[in-house]
Amino acid sequence: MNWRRKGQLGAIIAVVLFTASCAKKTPTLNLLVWEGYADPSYVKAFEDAHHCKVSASYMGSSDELMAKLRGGSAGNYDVISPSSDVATSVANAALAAPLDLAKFPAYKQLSAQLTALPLVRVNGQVFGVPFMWGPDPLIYDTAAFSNPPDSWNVLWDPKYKGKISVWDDLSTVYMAAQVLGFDKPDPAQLYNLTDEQLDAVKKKLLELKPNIRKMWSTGGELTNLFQNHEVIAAMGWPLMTNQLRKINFPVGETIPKENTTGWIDHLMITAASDNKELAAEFLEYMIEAKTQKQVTDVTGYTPANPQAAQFMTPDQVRNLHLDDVDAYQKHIYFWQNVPRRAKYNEIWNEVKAAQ
Amino acid sequence: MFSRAYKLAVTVPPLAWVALFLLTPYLLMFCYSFWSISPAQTIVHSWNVQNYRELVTVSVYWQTLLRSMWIAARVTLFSLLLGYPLAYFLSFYGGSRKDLLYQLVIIPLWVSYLVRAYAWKTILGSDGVLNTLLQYVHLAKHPLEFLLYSPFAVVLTLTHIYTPFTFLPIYASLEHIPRNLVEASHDLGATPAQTFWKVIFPLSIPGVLAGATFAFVLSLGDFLAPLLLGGPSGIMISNVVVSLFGAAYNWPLGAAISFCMLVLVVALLFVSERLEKKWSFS
Amino acid sequence: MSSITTSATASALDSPRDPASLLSIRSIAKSFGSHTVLRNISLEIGQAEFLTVLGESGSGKTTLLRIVAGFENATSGEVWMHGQRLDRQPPYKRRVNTVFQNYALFPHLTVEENVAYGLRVAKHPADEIRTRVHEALAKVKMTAHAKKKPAKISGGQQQRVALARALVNRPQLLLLDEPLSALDANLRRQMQVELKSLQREVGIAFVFVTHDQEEAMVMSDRIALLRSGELEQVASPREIYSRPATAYAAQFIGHTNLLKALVRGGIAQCGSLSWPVDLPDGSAFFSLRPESLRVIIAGSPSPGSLPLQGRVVHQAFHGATQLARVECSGGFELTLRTARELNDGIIALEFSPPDAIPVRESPERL
Repeated sequence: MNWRRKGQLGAIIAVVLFTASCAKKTPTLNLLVWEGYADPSYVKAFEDAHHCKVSASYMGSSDELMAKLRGGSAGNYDVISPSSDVATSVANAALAAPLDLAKFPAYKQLSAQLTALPLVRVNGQVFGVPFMWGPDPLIYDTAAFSNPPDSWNVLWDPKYKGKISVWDDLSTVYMAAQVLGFDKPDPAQLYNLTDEQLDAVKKKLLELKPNIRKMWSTGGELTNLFQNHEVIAAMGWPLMTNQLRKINFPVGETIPKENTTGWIDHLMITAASDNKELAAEFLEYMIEAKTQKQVTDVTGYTPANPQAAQFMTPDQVRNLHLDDVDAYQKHIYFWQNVPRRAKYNEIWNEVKAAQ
Repeated sequence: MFSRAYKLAVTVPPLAWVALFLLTPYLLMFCYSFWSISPAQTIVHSWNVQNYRELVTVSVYWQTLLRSMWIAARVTLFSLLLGYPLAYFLSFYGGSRKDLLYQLVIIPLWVSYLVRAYAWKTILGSDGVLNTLLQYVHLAKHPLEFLLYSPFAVVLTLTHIYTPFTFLPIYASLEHIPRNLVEASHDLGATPAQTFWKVIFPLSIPGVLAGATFAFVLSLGDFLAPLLLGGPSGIMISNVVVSLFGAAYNWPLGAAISFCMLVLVVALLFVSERLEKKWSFS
Repeated sequence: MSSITTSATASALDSPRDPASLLSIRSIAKSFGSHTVLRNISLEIGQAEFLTVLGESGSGKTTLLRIVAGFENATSGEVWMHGQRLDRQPPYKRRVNTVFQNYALFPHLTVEENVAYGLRVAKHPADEIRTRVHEALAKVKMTAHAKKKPAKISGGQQQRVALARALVNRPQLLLLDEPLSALDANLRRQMQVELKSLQREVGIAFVFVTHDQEEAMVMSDRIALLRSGELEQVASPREIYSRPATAYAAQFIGHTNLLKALVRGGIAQCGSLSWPVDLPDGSAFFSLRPESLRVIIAGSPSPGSLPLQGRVVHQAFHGATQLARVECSGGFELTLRTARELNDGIIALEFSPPDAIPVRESPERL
């Protein structure tokens, strides 16, 4: 290598280093969160206020989040939004950093029912803040039903062969267990089913298969399935209802009489984050009443901060059941840690692979 | 002559690259396949063949593998049935438009896989182009649902995506055939059909084998088409691997399946390579 | 050999049909786009005749062969064989076989299978195929290599297989497209002899394309000399050598001295030389072969011959003979063939006026 080549190489290295150092000057907050949790309508203001960039990746399922965190990609993300099913595992596995609650003035405004749950408390430390919560409702195309459906059993109706969709997720296992009545008397049983119960669930889900057009794995996918008239009923999230309403699609949403599972999404800071200070600012921003209202506008989920109601119309408050939270929550079994997650997954894979 | 130092300088980096980014991950995967997963969802580094036993005993896995091979076989067949005539036509009758037509066949390769998969969604869907057309001309009363979210859609899409991969080597092998062999065959009294089966086809076999291998191996390992266009029962072996590595966090079992697939694919490449050699004459 | 009178210039329609004629090429023309390759070619080929189409590269000789074989369609004109239109038939229906320039052996078939190819596609019985293939291979001395693939045998051997593959079908006409050009000089001379005797043995017509005039002279019954898509002369080698029709033919076949003379009142004048001719007034070309020039060693020139003087400028050794270039007093150069090396300096030469053959001037083409 002659001196000229060396000179060129040196110049290239210098440029790379220079660009890299420039990039360092604008801190970037990396999120791995559910769809809808990084909408520009509220993230932009945070970026402007803190001179930083918020870069979001969306998770398709709780399992995907766990796989990414455990697979060694935890260092790529600063903020995560685990739901109640895996929040405990994340905290237990020391994948998240403990929070100094003094730094979160808005924390005191959060619904006490949510903060009181033991989900994210380990050894007296708190590892996450409740952020949004909601049910996994039955969503349907109102044009296809003369009488609004009121039971999950509608999904099994032979009339709707190839016309329904379910989430490619363990939630569908919980739902089938609920339909089989395994939530009685103790709803917690859904997350700790016996082998016999799991076999029954598998059988029940295999009966559902002829009706399934497609299993959805992202929110956008289910919205599309409705929009293209591929399906007329599905288990989904309020997010899809919201999206479909925005495009004037005749969509209905209900919590069937068997009740449904639900989730509390927590915001956490990863233990591996290099931007813990900024991340904490972000968490505080996200649970402030005003931001919470904006998140609700995008997702249709219920805010963890009840004070968000002051920014809402009376209709919105009623739709979100903020006027009667206690009665509403009776119909929702919040996701819990599943000790035998591998077994649940095996059952779910078998259902998917079956002909 | 090149100096020893120069030779080392050019050979070591690629070898190191291969060792670091290809062999090491494979070796790691191989190790993982002998480990196991604890009830608390952590990987236990104790050596056992439980994962491989599970592959044989739990029917989901080998059945899905067999089904994936069946899908791949159909994709291969259809890709050959499409790619061969295309290559043949282009090579022998392309004339002055040869280059243009060749580019037209190749262009889809530059289009993202996802875009093409989504394009099929809009064509095959219940509200899609095809169903709308069929209903418009009264060939169908209701949207045909087998078109999308079905094995049909998966085979169709994979065939579409991998046909250029079968086309290319077949085209190359056809272009390689000296045209005077075709003339010699005609000269000796062989009809065009006889010439095709006795001269052109045998000499294009290396291309056919290479194309078939491409189509089979690539579609066997595909997971996007079944994910996007497959029905509730259309999952392929790679979807199982993805879910084992992802959702289920069962890396050891996922690694065992991956390793079996790797062995299968390497064996296939080996056989196809041997056959290609046997059928190439220069 | 049957002697056939061939008229290169007569139009196809009124040319007499010779009963011994096998192939009749009539007014063939061929253009690729605006580029004309062949112009008004008419040629009769006799049964068992060895006809060589000789020409430089680009003269159209291979195109002519390909039109007969059926690989190209003529732009206009007809090809007849045995009183039937040949040019309307696809190549696989023509009883014509070709030996290709690079042999075009099927690489995936053995020597034996290559030879059997034509018989197999014609669905001859298996034992007949075996016998005939065996005979054909024996004829070209390739029996020992029957099971080998073409890539495993030498160029000369491939050449023989290509011959056997064509001949086994017992064609009435064999077309050979520069079949020897890929061989080295020794093998080539050997194959020339073999080919010629093979042709005598099988007794069918060969149309042999080459650019090598020596090869053409050695092998042919007749040579059709092609120049820029037109026939220059069609005649036996001997005739074409001794009585070249055109300046081009005279120069292309063997060495010659081309003299440009002015004819006036039955006398041709070239430099200081003049001799009586039977030609009309005007300029004329004469071909004077190098062997027609004699060195006068001592004394006076032979009676009736024309003396001249010149200085030897260059001599080239050609084995049995020498070719010497001599600068003559008239300001022109002559080449002469001598048995021995000449001394440098001025020499005296002579030639007989009848040896100066009047030739037509070849028009510039293309």
